[in-house]
This record gives sequence, structure tokens and C-alpha cells, in this order.
Amino acid sequence: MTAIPSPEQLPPRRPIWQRISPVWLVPIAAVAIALTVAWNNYNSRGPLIVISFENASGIEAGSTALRYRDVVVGTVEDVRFGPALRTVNVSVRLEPGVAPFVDEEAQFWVIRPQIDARGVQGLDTVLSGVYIEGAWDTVPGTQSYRFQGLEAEPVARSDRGGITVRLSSIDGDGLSQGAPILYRGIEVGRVGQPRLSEDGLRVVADAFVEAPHDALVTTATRFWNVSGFRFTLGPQGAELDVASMAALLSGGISFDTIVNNGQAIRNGQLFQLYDAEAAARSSLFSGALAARAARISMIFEGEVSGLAAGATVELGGVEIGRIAAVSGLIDPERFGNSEVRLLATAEINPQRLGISGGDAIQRTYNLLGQEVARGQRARLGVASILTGALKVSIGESDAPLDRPFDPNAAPYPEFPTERYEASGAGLSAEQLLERVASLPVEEIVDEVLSILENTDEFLGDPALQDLPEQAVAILAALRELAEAEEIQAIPGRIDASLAALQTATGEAETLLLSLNEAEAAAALTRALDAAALAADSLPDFLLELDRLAQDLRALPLNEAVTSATAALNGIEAVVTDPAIQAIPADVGRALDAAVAALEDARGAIGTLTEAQAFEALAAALIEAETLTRNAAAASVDLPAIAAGVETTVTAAAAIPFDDLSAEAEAILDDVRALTSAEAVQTLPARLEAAAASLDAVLGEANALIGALDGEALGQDASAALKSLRAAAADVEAATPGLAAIVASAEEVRFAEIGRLLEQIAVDIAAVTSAPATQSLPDDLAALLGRLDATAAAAEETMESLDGPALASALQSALADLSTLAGDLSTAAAGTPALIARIDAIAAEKIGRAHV
Amino acid sequence: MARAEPLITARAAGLVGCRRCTRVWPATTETCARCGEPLVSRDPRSLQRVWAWWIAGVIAYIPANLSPMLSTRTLTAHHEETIVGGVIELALHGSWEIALIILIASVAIPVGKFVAIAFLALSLGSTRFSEHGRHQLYHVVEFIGRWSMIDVFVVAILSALVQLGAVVSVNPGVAALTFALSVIFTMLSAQSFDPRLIYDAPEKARA
Repeated sequence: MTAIPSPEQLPPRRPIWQRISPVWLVPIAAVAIALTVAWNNYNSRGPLIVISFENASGIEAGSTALRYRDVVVGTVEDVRFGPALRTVNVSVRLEPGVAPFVDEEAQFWVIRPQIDARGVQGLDTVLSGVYIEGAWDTVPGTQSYRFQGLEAEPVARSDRGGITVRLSSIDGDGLSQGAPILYRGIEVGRVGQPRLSEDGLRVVADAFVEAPHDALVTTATRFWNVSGFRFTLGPQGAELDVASMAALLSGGISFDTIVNNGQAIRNGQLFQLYDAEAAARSSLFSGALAARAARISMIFEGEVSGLAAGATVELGGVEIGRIAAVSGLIDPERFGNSEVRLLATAEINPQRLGISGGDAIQRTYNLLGQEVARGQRARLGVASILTGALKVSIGESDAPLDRPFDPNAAPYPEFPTERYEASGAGLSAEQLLERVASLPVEEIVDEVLSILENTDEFLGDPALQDLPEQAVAILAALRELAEAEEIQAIPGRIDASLAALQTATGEAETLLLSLNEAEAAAALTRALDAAALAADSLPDFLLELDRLAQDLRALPLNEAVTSATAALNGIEAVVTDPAIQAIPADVGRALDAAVAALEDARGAIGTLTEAQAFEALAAALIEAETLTRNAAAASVDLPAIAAGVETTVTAAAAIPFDDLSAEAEAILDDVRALTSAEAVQTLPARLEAAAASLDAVLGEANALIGALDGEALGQDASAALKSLRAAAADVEAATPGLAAIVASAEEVRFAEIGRLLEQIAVDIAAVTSAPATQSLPDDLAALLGRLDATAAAAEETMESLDGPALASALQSALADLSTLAGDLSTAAAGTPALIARIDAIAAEKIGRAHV
Repeated sequence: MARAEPLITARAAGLVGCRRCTRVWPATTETCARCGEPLVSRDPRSLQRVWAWWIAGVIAYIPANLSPMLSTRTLTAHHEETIVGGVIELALHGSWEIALIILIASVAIPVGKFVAIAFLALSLGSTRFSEHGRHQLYHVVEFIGRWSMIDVFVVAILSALVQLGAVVSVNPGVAALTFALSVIFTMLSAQSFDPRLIYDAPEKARA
């Protein structure tokens, strides 16, 4: 161990960089950093400005921002009271960049959430809290660090161009904070906070008109209130004025520059706010401009009422001024009597006459003097019929000029006038009102009241109350009538008539068929041509039929079918009668007999002289041809008939078929009853007997033919055919009658036919129910029996005859036949007359029905 | 411990102890043969380092108290709190315990450490204070230094957890960083202190 080293024995002092610890760098660096940061902070700090507010609601130190155009340019650092607690001083640290611009002109106000008539503002501040908005222009100015804060956004923001005017109003109407300033409906500015003037007599508000519209405001500008809506009743009549909705809610101010010679105004120029546009415009003739108006006086004679201050003065229809004052004037010296005359003082606006400049008034007087010299006079006219207000119009007049126009007269030059006659429309409104007032209104009301009472009584009459019931009873009676059996039976009767018609048609058809047997091809062709003609009119007919079918489809056919079925059953019963069954056998026998007769005839013909036979046959053929020609001629009329039928069908389509079907049902019932009648039931048996008789007759005819002399036969046939031709001719003649019937049927109003048919049906019913008719089958049977007997007798006779005797007998028989045909012809000739009669009867019925 | 007899320092006994592995060597030994630590009987620049770290810690401690520690941004407001401001706010809300904890951890302890270290460093040349007491103070300071970080931890945890987008967000302020630096510098300062120096002055006085 060596000696303990003493401190003196410590190694010699080392250089300072070895003795000093490098750790010292740490605090040095810390100090350096701190200094740097502090310097930077200080350097980047803008100036602190102090804004004084009335209160600091919502402003918080450290967080409330100052914004300029919505960019944060500063932060509130401190909020404290000003001296004597008068204000709240808000210290705001500005961004250094904007600091130079925040000069003396800068304005500050607090943005808070706000809802008013113009909408919602500052909505974002609900969440973020209020902020301070600043406005300053873009030109750096004198630095300032103390500002007076505004309560709300200023009307005249210093960062926007424009001009501020002061509006003064007596009652402050329309002067509300933020109210829009409109120029022809366009918002060009706003009204600021209204306040009382120093003397407390008026309400004054700053109003800001934004650039570039500020150029519209000159010394000649007039402002008026457009808040809400305004209803005026003046010399110009009634007027309703509604401004914009916003103006309706928050008020508004409109302005216009009425004349063009206004001069530019300075900031803060005071303007009067007028209550209405009319007042604002007319103010140009008084007030500031009144000094520049040329005043004239006018003395009106006559009874003048309705002229008041403010009435217009027109020259050639153009308003050049206003009546400023109206007063009475008594001047016995001038007028020679003590009548009161109307003295009106008018202010003529030289600018309205296109006169401006320093000597405008004098030039106006000169102009008016020239007008007077030209014969112009002032006269009173009606400005408003409604109010009876008057106006003054200057126009040509032949009124004498009692005193020349003196431009220098005192106090004002007098303009000559025309005597006022209170007439025409001026008083008419008044007279009208008087007349209305004199109307006996009370009496009229009394009359009306009594009429109403009477009406009330009438309506309350029990008899009137019963009226509906009676109407119902009438309707019921009508219904009963309609349901009466007679009415119901009408269709059945019609049906019976139709059946008869059908029978007739069937007979005609048979006739035609028989004609056909003797037909010639040419005749047939002609007939076909005629039929073709008829067919041409068929399509329309078919259309009608179609409609008819549609109507029919709607009919309650089921019942009709049931009835028809019953009828058919009856017919079937008839058909299945053994007697009917036996008919074919009888017919067969008759045919056999006919064959035999033909055989005989052949033999007889063989014995005939050929020439005679041929001549007779030729004549017969000629007759036949004539006959067919007649038939053709008859058929020519068919188209017309068809057309008639078509029309009829058209009319028939209108028939209430519902009812008819019921009637048809009834008819079918009748038919059934008829068919089930005993007489009908026995008809087949009788038919059989008749057929047997016919058989016998044919057999005899057969024998007779065998004995016939050909010539005589031919002549007789010819005669018979002639008769037939006559009959056909008669048929032909009958056709026009048919056509006429159809035509008249067309005219029939089918609604009325019902009644007629009813009568007819009643008649027919009477006929059918007549004992004679009932016994018809029996008679028919008796007839057939007689026929049978006759045939049998003939047969016997024939058998007993020899050839020549037979021939003569045959001749006489044929002559009888010919006679028979002649009778038929006669009967047929009577048909047209019959038809005509029917026609006449129908026409008569129709006429009666019409009656 | 008996105070009757003054202590003999290792240097007076011609020895030097290793500060890492505590092995005692003859005073002339340069390097600890056991752990390789350079052996110095007294660190001549200890006090310099103490003071350097101490100053850096104090410098860092100033912004740590002036700047906001927590920056809270909610939907409607932006809030920043300094340490003392937060303590006052907590106290006003009635959370006395938490306010007290934060006050002790963030204010009392760091300030106490500054005072304690300065006292230790300044009292080296004096014999008025007991060497043993100062040594114990030194140990307390060294032990307690790490607990000063509690405030920084709170801020770190809050910032990590409370990030609800636009609704609420918590961010550390400048103070969090400077406070952490201050604590670190103070700890380094305490570490730089060579407690053996405490015993030099009485020895010199006796000599």
C-alpha cells in the first residue's frame, strides 16, 4: 500500500474542455429551444386589439374566433370590463397577416343564431358557438387597436361599396332593422336600426344602398314605405298595393328617382320617408321642389265641389302640376256681385313642361301666356266618378278672355277659366247614390217577404203534400192497364193475323209453284232479274233484320218456346193420328189412279189428230208464257215491296217485343187449344176421306182423259189458262195495293198499332170464338164428304160412259172448270178492292189513333 | 448506528469501491477486475452533470406547467387544461382525492426533487447536515423519480382511448412532452450525483 493520496496529489488540472461535462449541452440546448420557441411565438403574434361590446354573450376567452369572410383571423384572448363597467372589452389577438388591414374603418359584430322574416342566419353558430365577424376594406389604413363593437351586422359594411342615407319618418312605419330597400322590386339595400332623432320628433334610420345601385340615389330620389299592403281610395279611384312577401312581414322601403336632374348625394344624406308612393311622387311638387314650381291662380265660377288640394292639373292630358290650395273668394269690385267664387292655387312643375334652368319659372309663365293666347282655358273635369273628385284640365275653349294672362301679377298670375257646369258624369255618381238611397227598400223587402210567406204556405198545403201519392196511384193504374188481358192478348191476335197471312202466302206459293210447272226459261230469267233487283235492297233489310234479331234475342223466348213445344206436341198428336198415317196409302192409291189416267190419256192422245193437238198445245203454251210474263211483271214490284217490308221491319224493330212475346205465347196457347180441338183431331180422318175421293176423281179424270178429244181438250185448257192469266193479272194488280199497304204500314206508328191490333184481335177473337168458326172443321168435313160423294158419283158416271159421250161430258166438265177458273179470277179481281178496303180501314184506324 | 466515532471513508482507508459490483479495490486500481468498470474514488465532474441535468429539468418544467397538458375536443367545444388548471378543476368538481394525487405526483414530487437535488449538491461543502441523512434523502429522490411519470401515463392512456372522431377526442398537449423531459432530466440529475461526495466535507473538516 502506498501513501494515501492527498487531494494535492490529484492529477494536474486538465484542460477546460476535459473538465467540463458534455452534459452541459443539454440545458444549453433546452434554453436555446425555449428561446427559439418564445421568439417564434412572439414574432408570429399579431397585434392585440380591443373591441368594446355592450355585452359579451357567448364570447369566451381562448375559443371565440374572429372571422373575416368566414376565415378565422384571430382569437379572443381576454374578456373583461371596461372602465366603470360601461362596456365589455374583448381582446382579440389578430393574425399578423390581416393586421395592417384592420384600420380605423374596421367594424366588428357578433354573429349569433337569428331567425327573422328574411330567413335563418348564423345557423352554424348553434354548434360552434358565436364568433365575431369583422369587416374592413382591402386597403391598409391607419392602425387602430380599439374598436367599438356593433350590436348586429351593420347595414353599411365597410367591405362593401355603396352609400348610406338617413331616412326620416314621423311614425317610423317601415323603418325596421333589416327591412329591405327595393328598387323596382329588386332588393338593393337594407335599413339599419331605427332610432329617435335628437329632438324626439322623428324616427331616423340609416339605410345602405349597395353598389352599384347607389348611383340610383340622387337628390331627386324619393323613398316611400311599402310595408304590408295598402288600400287607397283617392281621386284616381281605389288602389290596392301589395309589396313582396318579405316586405309584408318585415316592412320595406322602395325608392325611385322621379326626375332626372338630381345631383349626387354625400354619405348620410337625409331623406324623408313617405307613407306611400303617390305621396312620394307628388312631393316633387311641394317641399324641396316647390320653390321651383310656377304658381298660378285660377278662379272658378259656378257651384264647385270636389276640387281639393292635391288634384292634378293637366295640359293636353299630361299632368303638369297639382292644386296646392283651394279657398273662397269674394270680390264685388271685380265681379260686380258678392258671389263666392273658388280660388285655386296650382303649382306647375316646369320640369313637366320640359323646362329647366334658373329662369324656369319665368319661362313657364311665358309658355302659359302663349297657351292662353291660343285660347286655352282651365276647366274643371271629373277625376273620379266614384268619389266625384275634380281635376283641372287646360284645353281649348271659346270662353271669353275677360282679363289677359299677366305673368307678373301678384301674388300669382291668374289663368283664365271656363265656368263650371256641374253636370254629366260629375254629378251622376252622386245622383245615382241619391236614387239608390231613395229606393223604397223597405217596401221591396216587405213584398219579398210576403211572397216568401205565400210560397211557404203553398208548399205547406196538405193537398200539395198528397201530390206524390196521387202520382203514384196514377202510375199504378197505368201499370194495371198495361197488364190488362186485352192488352196482353194483342200480340196473340197479331200472331193469328200473321198466321192467316202466312196461309195466304203459302197459297200464293202454291200458285207460283203451279206456275213454275208451266215455266218458260225466259220468264224465269226475267223473274230472276227482278228478284236480283229485289236482292239489291236486301243488305239494308238484313241489317234491319239483324237489329230485329238482337232485339229478339233479348226476348223472354223460353216461355215462347215452351208454348211452341206445346203447340208442336198438339200437332204431333194430330200427325200421329191413325187417319193421317193412312194418308200415304190413300195418296198411293190416288197416284195409282193418276198413273192409270195418264196411261189412258196417252192412249187418247195417240188417237188425237196431231195438227189439232199441236195447235191447242201451242195456244196453251202461249197462254202459259203470258201467264209467266204476268208473274214476272208482278215480281217486278217485289223490290218496292221488299223495301216497304224493310221499312216496316225497321219500325217493327221499335216494337216492344217483350210484350209481344207474351202475346205470342198466348197465341201459341190458342193454337194449342185449337189443335187440341176435337174437330181438328178428326181432320186427318176427313183428309183421308177427301184423299180417297180425290183418288176417285182422278181415276175418273183418267178415264175421262182417255175419252178426250185432243182439240177440245186444248181449247178448254186454253180457256182455263186464260182464266188463270186473268187471275195472275189480278194478282199483279193487287201487288201495288200490297205495296200501298206496306207503305201505309210504314207510316203506322207502331206504338199506336198496339191499340188497333188489339181491336182487330178482339174482332178476330170474336170471329174465332163464333160458333160458325167453331163448326168450320165440321163444315169442312161435311164438304169433304160431299166432295167424296161427288167424286164417287163422277166415278160411277165415268164408268158408265162410252167414249164419245165421255168426251162430251168431259168437255162440259172442262167448261165447268173454266167457269170455276173464271170465278176464281173474279174472286182474285176482288182482292185489290179488298186490299184497298183493308188499307182504308187501317188508314182510318190510324187516323183515329192519331185523334 | 453509533455516532460516537466518525466514519472513515474508503478513500481515507486507501480503498476504492466499484460502483457497479461493489467490489472494493486498492485505491490505485484503475479498473475493476471483476466487472471491468473504471474505478474512480470520486467523480470530479459529478456535480457538473448534476447541475446540467438539473437546469435542463427546470427549463423543461416551466413549459410543462404553462402549456396545456390535455387538449379535449368535443362537438361543441375545444378545451385545454394545464396541470394545475386540471387539478383545480378536479378539486372544484369535488374529486379531492384525484386532485391530490395529481397535485402530489405532478407538482409536489418534481418540485421536491428539484429542491432535494439542489440541496444535496449545495450542501456538499457544509458540515451542518448529517451525512447519513443526506445519503438517505438521495436514495429517496432516486427511488421516487420514476413515479413522477404518472401524469404522463394518464395523458398517454386517455389520448389512446378517447378518440371518438368528431364527437370527443383527447390529445396530449405540449406539456406532456416537456413534463416527461423534465422528469427524465431530473432522474438523470439524481443519478449523476455521487453520494460519496457527501462524506468528503466532514472528512476534510476533521482533517
